Amino acid sequence: MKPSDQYDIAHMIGNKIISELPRLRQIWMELNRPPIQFNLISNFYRHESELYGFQKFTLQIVATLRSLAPEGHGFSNDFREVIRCGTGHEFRPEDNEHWPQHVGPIIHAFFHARCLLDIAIQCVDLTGLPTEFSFLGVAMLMPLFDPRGSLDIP
Amino acid sequence: MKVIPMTHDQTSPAVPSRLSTQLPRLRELLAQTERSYLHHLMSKFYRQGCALYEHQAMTEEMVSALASIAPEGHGFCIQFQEIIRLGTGREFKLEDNNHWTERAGAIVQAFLHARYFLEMAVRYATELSDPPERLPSGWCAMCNLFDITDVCGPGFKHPKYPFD
Repeated sequence: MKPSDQYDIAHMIGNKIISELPRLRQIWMELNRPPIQFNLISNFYRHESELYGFQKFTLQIVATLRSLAPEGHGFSNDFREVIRCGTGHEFRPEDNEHWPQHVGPIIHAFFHARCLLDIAIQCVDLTGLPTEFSFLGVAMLMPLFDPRGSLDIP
Repeated sequence: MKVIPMTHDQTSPAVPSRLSTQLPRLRELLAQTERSYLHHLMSKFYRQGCALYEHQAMTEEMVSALASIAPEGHGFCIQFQEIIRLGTGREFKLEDNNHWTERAGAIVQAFLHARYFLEMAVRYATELSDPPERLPSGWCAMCNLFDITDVCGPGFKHPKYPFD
């Protein structure tokens, strides 16, 4: 079954957020430890190859977001493109020569994934109840999913 | 990059000395761009909404605020300049829809970088009243933003917080 009505889709996403909430919160807390949050862009401007390590966090969030997809839906092409460009990179010394081009997408992908995770958590936070979600919040998350999309990142 | 020589007993500011005077403006901008602002920005990106382009004004405002705290004789580093150049001054054209992640993505990216430095500026202006044993990475990034080197090399310990 593919839910076609926007209300059904929102409901499906919202319910999945509620059931996944402990895991979403756990990852969020992990990502908000100051070293992670602040080192990312700092590493970018300092040309630190450690920044490549952030890709694993991005993929971890993507895996979590995947579990929120409504039935029959994949990620939108835009999201897949952002994640594709910002993951799967291995540091090579020659990357230093074109640092913003190589590393910018890694930061970009991480921030997108992190922000979408935050939106998901806020869907429930806005209601003040752990068993209810805000439709307004879910509406912000809905463009992430596409009935023609895939959940795989190419 | 310009190098500002620093010795271990030097106490003069190596990074924005105008920070404290600009702090109210920076705080206000930070408050305006809190969590929900970022959520709307991201939502517009994924909805392919041309309203996303309006957010460039906020990026420009943040950049202007950051420029106002630059130490005398210092501009932004080349990388930041490039990110801001790519992510501001854009007008929506229909063909942008065909290159959305690249063109609109640059707007989001510029916003995120500018906001990061805004957050770091406010954070360290308010939190670091005492000299830390080592400079936090966010503050090192601020030094890099303004092309200041030699203040946060590996293993370098600062006996004084380089702040006014």
